[in-house]
Amino acid sequence: MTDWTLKINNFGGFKGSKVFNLKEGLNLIIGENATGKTTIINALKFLNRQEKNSENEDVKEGNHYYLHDKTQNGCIELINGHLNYFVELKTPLTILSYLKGKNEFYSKRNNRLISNNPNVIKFTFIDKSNKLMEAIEYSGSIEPIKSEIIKISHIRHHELILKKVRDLNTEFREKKEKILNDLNSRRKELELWIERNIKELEKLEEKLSRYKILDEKSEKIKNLEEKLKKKNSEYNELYYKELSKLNEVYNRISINLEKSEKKLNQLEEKKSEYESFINLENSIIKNENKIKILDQKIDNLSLKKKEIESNKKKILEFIQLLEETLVNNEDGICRHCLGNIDEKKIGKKIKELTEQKQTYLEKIKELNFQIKELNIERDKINNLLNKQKNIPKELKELSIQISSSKKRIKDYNTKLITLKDKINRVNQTLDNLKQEIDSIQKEIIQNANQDEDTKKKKMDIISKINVIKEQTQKFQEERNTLVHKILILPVNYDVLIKRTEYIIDVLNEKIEKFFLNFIDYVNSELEIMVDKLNWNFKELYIDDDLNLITINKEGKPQNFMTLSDFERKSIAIVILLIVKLKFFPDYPIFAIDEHLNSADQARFVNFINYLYENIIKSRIPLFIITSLPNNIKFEKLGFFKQNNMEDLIILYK
Amino acid sequence: MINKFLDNLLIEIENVSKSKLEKYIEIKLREFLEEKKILDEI
Repeated sequence: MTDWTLKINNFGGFKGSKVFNLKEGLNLIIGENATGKTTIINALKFLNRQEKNSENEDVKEGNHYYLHDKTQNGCIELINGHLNYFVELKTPLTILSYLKGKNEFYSKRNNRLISNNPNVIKFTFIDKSNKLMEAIEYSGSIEPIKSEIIKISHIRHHELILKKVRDLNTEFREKKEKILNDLNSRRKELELWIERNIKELEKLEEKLSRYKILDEKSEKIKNLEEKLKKKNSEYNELYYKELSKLNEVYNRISINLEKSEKKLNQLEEKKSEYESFINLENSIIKNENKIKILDQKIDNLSLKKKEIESNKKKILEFIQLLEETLVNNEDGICRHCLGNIDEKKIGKKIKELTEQKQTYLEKIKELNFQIKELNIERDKINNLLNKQKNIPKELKELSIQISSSKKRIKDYNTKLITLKDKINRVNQTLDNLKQEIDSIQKEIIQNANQDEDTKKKKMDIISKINVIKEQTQKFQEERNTLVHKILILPVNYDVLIKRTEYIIDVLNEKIEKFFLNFIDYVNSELEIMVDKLNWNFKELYIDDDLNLITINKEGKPQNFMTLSDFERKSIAIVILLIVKLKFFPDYPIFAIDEHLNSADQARFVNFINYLYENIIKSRIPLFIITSLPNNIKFEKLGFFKQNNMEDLIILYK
Repeated sequence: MINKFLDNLLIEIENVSKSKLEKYIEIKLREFLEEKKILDEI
């Protein structure tokens, strides 16, 4: 066993340098007030990095710890110690703080380090173990720390899973409830709609059945349409074949008639023209006379012309003679008559004769013209006369033609009248047919309108029925799906709920088992305690509800609060230690600072011996108990007997 | 089956950080509870 050497220099109540050898196992520090018992514990505590203020300087080399405290210019040194637990694991130095309710140790904690440290749970447990103490001290129940035990033990995971499973269980139940409510309310809604629709359908079907009578009307329309078809074909037959044929004949005759009439007019015009000639029969005679007169005139003029021509000839001969005379004159004597020739006179005579000849020529010319004129007139009259002479013959012919033409026209007219009659009759028939057709059509339209209205109303009802049927079908389908879901979903959720419940049961069982084991463990330790201490109670145990039960020697249950302060604290310390050791078996240092002072010497020694033998020995590396001297009979302390009395640290002022 | 699941879960969560632990457990539980067959029907 190696000593833990603690050197304290100008720290706390210590002035100058002090060296303490702390044995592994139990160390008892005894001393009056203000002798430095607590300072030793605090020195160890301060060596823990968590307790140092920023001005302190510290060194750690292996198991050698050093701390320089600038506030007091002091230092603490630990040689061969195992403060690495404190330093690195951030565990508390002593349980003293908790017993006193001093939590300053933790208030200065480095949270970052703690949070990264897997041993934080130890810390928490110890911290919360105050509750254990309080619980034991004031109510006798350790129930409040159950949750803390859960936190620090592996069972915390079971608890966490349990919490989640419970949450899920609630969630599934709520979901199931909600879905069922939703589905049922929708189902009710749908059923209401289906019911309404069925009623509506019944009404509509009834309405529809009334329209069946009206269907017969369609037959009437069919008959009328047949009739109309027949009449139409009759009409077309008559119109396109009969009437068009008649009209064609009529038009042809009309054209012929027109031609004949035109010809007749021409003939009549000619006749009237001829007739005008006939009326002038006297004019023929006149014209004949005229011709005669003209002939006479022409004759006269011809005679006159002959005479003038003869005169002209004579003049021409005389001129010739005269000219010859002029040519044959010899010395002025005429060879024929030998008379004297006066040339001048002859010339003059020739001139005169020439002029006369000219006059005759002109006269002849004029006469020729007159004769010609007369001849023209005569020819004209003669032509007229010839015509006039032919008129009776032509007239006769014309009359024949006219009468024939008239007869033809008459025939045409008769035919036309007959045709017209026929056409009129056909038209009349057509009109009648047309009227009949119109009437049939009207009747059809009238019936059809009625039928259409009926059909429309009927179709409206049918379409409404279809819409409602379709809608109802959809509603029914949805309802069926819902019904299926309503049946299936709860089952599914029930499966889930059951599973969660089963997991809850399993976990509860595990947790319960854990606590039962835990209780068994604590109770077995408490049994040893009762046995070893032989105090005023016969039995001491924790029941299943984590209540601390004490049975006195008379076999009666005892109120925890009626126990002495020392007894309560002792029980609390034991429970705390065994709980601590259960979960943190390697916890290095414990210290109990003056808490057992209220005990009488015998009980104190008894309890310390019990602690040493049953809990501290070989289980806790360093255990420190401080106490006022109070006449302790150290020789009765078993562990001092086995070890050296030097293990007892006695402090003096 | 549930015990096996819980045992596995306990082993798995040893390596899960504290901040993610609850979420992780919830996911794993849902995975286990809401088997595909059941989920499909829902």
